[in-house]
This record gives sequence, structure tokens and C-alpha cells, in this order.
Amino acid sequence: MIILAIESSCDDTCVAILKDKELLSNVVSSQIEFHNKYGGVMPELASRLHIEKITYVIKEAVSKANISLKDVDYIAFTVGPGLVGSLHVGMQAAKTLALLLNKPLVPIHHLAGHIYAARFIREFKFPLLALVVSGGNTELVYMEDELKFKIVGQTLDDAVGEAYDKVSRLLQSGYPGGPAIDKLSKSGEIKYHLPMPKNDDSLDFSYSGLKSAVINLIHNMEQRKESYKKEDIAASFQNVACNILIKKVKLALKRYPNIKTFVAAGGVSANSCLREKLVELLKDYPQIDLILPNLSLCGDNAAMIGMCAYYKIISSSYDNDLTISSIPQYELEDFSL
Amino acid sequence: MKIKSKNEQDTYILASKIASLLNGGEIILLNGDLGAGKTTFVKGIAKALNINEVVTSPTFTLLKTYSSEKFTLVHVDAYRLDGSSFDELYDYLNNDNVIFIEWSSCLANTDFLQEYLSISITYKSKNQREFDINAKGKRYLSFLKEFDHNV
Repeated sequence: MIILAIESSCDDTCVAILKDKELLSNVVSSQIEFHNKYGGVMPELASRLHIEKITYVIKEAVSKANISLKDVDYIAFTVGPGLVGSLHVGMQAAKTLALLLNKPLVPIHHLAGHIYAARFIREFKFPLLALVVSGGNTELVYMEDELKFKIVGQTLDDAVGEAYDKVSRLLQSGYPGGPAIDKLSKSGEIKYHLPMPKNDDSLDFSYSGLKSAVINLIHNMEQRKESYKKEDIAASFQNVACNILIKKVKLALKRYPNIKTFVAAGGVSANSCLREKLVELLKDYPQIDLILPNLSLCGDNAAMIGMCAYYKIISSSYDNDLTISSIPQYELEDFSL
Repeated sequence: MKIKSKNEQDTYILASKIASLLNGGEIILLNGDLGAGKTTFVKGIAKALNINEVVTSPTFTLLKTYSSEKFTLVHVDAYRLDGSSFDELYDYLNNDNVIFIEWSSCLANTDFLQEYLSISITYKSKNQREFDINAKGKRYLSFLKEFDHNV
């Protein structure tokens, strides 16, 4: 079967073509060059850019896959969560293709897609634990079986990627903050003590306090006219930001001792510090298969939406409904089988 | 009017007093630097309204909604907008919603903001904050008067 998948939940317009689980093409038209001068994603600009780009991205994906549109058997798209205007553009493109080609629509949850990005590396063995970390999410997801999602831990305030973005903005280091802080950290020292947020026995996270601690640190040093290196602040922040993720993963593995696969997902899973720490941690769990997605599939992409759609299709659990609306605040558990 | 908060618990008490006066249709602007406690204040409002969902930062999604008994709590963060328009907000301007807008200063189009309650939070020390509450328009002046009476 040929799956055409569309993802447009935030600032990237993405289309991918899969032949079953094989990726034939994956086009990501990143809008970062438009957004970084504003320090973030702007919804109006984002949806306008999606409209401008979507047809070109579809054409490019079809041509790179060396197929023609009429070969497509299923149209998958991100139905939520995300920015409503952006989601709408991808959904309308998907509906148009579904009508035109008379092929079924397969709506996919964005975070489920992120988890399934790791499936391009290897098969999953269940139960599975996933750490989903991005600009809008920080969640621990337990999957008892295929497409069965249970959120067992989540952020109580800011997402980890958001903390990276805000700290990067404080250090005037650009957007997105993840790669910027990661790069600065490499030439910095872990010199400052920052409190470990939500350092308790729960599986929940909190990044608001860490953000405030960095603000206090800079503020106090500036008041004392003390000089500091951005690199040292970045390294100190990144160390704590990653350590708390690792601590909670460790707690979750203790609470769910039957886990067979561990997956990292989302834009922050491309972070080198987090990857190193996860590899180190999982050495103590030889029974668990650690799957880190390809760097190119950590951020938003449509390949992951196509992969998740493949499993929805073979389990015949998708809802082919042309009247469907996008769901900006879609809960992952509601997408569960 | 200015109110001092000694800690997070104080902020929650203040939020519950504001929440008890909300009926639906109100707009409350929240301003203050990163880390001032704008989201914490909205968490306090949600708690007072018996909303069980976890209120998380809307920075990335720009807008989050939570249902309560009387109305829907709409939590907006304009931080990322930085002067860009956010027309979607117009859909929420009715009596079914109470809208809290963080970083309202970043909104480009503020035509709809004729009347509102404005809360500025200033950082005093690690735990202490100062809340400066002001009203614009008749509706909010009487809101503030009633609030003053209750405090």
C-alpha cells in the first residue's frame, strides 16, 4: 500500500510517501528562517506559509518518491494537537486529495506520530515506555500494546523545549533554543548550581522554576556587575534540564519493570546531552531495547505520521470521515485503540 | 490597587478572590517579566474554579481552554506573537468564556480591548511578588470595587 502523509501542526509543512513501512520520500519545508527573527512561531504567519507551501511540498514528495498521485492508497494527516490554523491547512489538503482520489483519510495524533518515528529504526516490543520531549510537550507515555497510549507523567507548567527557547532568548542565542543551547554548552562549564525542578518521587515534570532560577542567576550577576560566560550558563542549565528527565525515566522504569522497549521522541530527543545520558542510563537495563530516532525524524515530519498511519490501517481502526475537524487540544489517550 | 504576595500560597488566595467574582465574558490581562508568576496565577484561578486538569504554559500552543461549571477558562499567551496578529482570539469574545491573556503587551491588534481588568506582576524576591490591579471601563471598575470590598 502507498500512504501519503501530511503534517502541519506547527511551523513545518511536511509531506511524506511510504510504501508500507518503507519511506519513499520525506519533504520538510522548514519555516524557521521566517520565524527566528520573531523569536517563535506566529500562528497567522504559520498558516499563511503553510498555504503557500503545501502544494509544492506535495508535488515534491510525490516526485521524489517516483510515484504518481493515483498510486496513493491512503491519505494520512495530523488531526491534532497543534495550532488550529496550521492544522486546518494540512487537513484541507488531505481532504481534497481524499475526495479527488477517492481514497480513505487516516487522521493521526501528532504525539503518537513522534513515538512511531522510532519504528523506522526497529520494530517495537511491548510494553514500551516513551519520553516525548518538544517545544510543547514533556510526557512519559506507557504503551501496553500497539497504539495503546497511557500518559504516566507530564509537565505541570512549561515544556522542556519551551524552557530551552526561553533560556536561549535570555542569552540572546536565537530560536529554536534547543540546538543553540546544545551548541553553547559544548564550550561551557557546568559552573553554576541550579535547583533540580520537581525533584520528587512523582513522574511529573516542572520547568517553570528552572527558568526562573536562570533568570535570577543572570539578574544577580548583573546587579553585582559580575561577568559571566553564556556558555557556562547554557551548560549548567542543560545539565539540570536533562538530569531531571533522566531521573524521571529511571523512576518510571522502576515503576514499570516489564518494559521491553524505550523510545525517545520529539524535537528535544535530538539533543546530544539527553541522548548521551539515555544511552548511559539504559546500559543498566540490558533487557530493554533503547531506540533513538534518526536526527532527521526527531523534529516535526510527515514520515512519522505515515508510519503511525500504517499501524492504524493494518488494525482497521481509522475513521475515514470527510466531515472531521482538526482537534487543537487532542488528548493522546483519546487516540488510543 | 497594589497587593503584596509573600509566597505562592498567597498568590493562590488572591486568585481565588478574583475567581469568585467572575461570571463569564471577562477579559483579564496579565503582564510581568519571564518568571513573574503569570501562569502560576492562572493555575490559582483554575484551582478556585474546581478545574482538575493541569494548567500548563500556553506559550507553545498560544491558547488553551478549560471547562468549569460557570464558563470556559481561556488561557492565552501572546509571548510568541511579538506584534503579530492573533485573529483567532475574536472567536472567544463572548459570555461563555473568561479570557486571561499573558503578555497582552505583545498583541498587535488590541481593538477588542476596550474594557478589561489588568494585572501586572512584579518580581520582588525569590518568593515575593507585587500585584498591581487596575480596571478599564465601567464593568471592571465595579468589579474592582467589589473585589476591594471583599479583601
